[in-house]
Amino acid sequence: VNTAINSRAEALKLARLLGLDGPESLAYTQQVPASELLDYRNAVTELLYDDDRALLQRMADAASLLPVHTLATVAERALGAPICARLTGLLDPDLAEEISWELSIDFLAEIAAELDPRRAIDVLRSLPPDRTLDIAVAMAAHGEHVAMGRFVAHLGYARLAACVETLTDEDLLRIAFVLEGEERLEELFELVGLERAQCMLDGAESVGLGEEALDLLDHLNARQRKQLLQRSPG
Amino acid sequence: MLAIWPAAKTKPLASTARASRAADGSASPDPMSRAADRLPDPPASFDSEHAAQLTAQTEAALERQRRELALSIDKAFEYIPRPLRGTIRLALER
Repeated sequence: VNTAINSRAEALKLARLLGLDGPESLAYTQQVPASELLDYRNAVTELLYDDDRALLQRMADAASLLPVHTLATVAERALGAPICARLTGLLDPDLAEEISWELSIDFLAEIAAELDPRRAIDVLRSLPPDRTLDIAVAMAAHGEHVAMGRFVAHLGYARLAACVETLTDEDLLRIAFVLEGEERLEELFELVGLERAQCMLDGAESVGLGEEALDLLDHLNARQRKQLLQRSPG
Repeated sequence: MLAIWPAAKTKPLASTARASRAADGSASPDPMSRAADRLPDPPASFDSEHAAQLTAQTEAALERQRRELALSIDKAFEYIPRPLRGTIRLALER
């Protein structure tokens, strides 16, 4: 496994978490082992999510005092996606789902991009599959592949399959590169299918995703890699 | 003005929580839940310059997040029906 590529993937995730313009803001991190960057990113995630936790919990508790349409208005026009993401895991899951029906798909995609899915699993599972797919498509349109990589581990098979079918090859390569919970990568590969995977890898260089393609190959199991190499011309 | 967190707009965020608690006695975030003094140690492989750079970028993200929270709470009250504002304010100050 190419350690420099792994570090670049981690730098991408850390830059997203810190709200930096791009991974070039963290160019100096790319010589650091990915495992160290991962540990740091996990610590920063805890730091950002737990800061002002008591106040956020009071906000979440107070939400039950307001009508759902007011909560949706407050969410979209006053709080904004980053705060809503932190509140999502603190709200009663049923109330969170009710509010979500009042929010636009674009705003839900913005919330999802800020969300730590581990903290909102009940809410994620309560969303209907077609709504999950709409949110995924909007996230891809916003270029939120790093955030999407966090969700793969938390999507059931049917939702993941629908996303794979709908998203573009380029989207899937970008997501696979920053995937959290790499044990899902082999399943993702099976869902993509051999023929599409081959096209995806063959076309990667032309869209500037050569490193992402190499990284994908590195993370497949031996059988899958062999299948792909057998199909490769020359 | 419904300023739940009035000091946030005028003071550096590093000191906002404690200062605003002293000023209004109630609605500010609980200092125990704040994490300014718990910034994680940067990766051991960094030299001191890059370690300081990463810590500064992390602190900036934390301060931006606090600033947004402070401003958004004030803004939220603009959308809460008047008869419910007092109840919500009390719930946040609990």
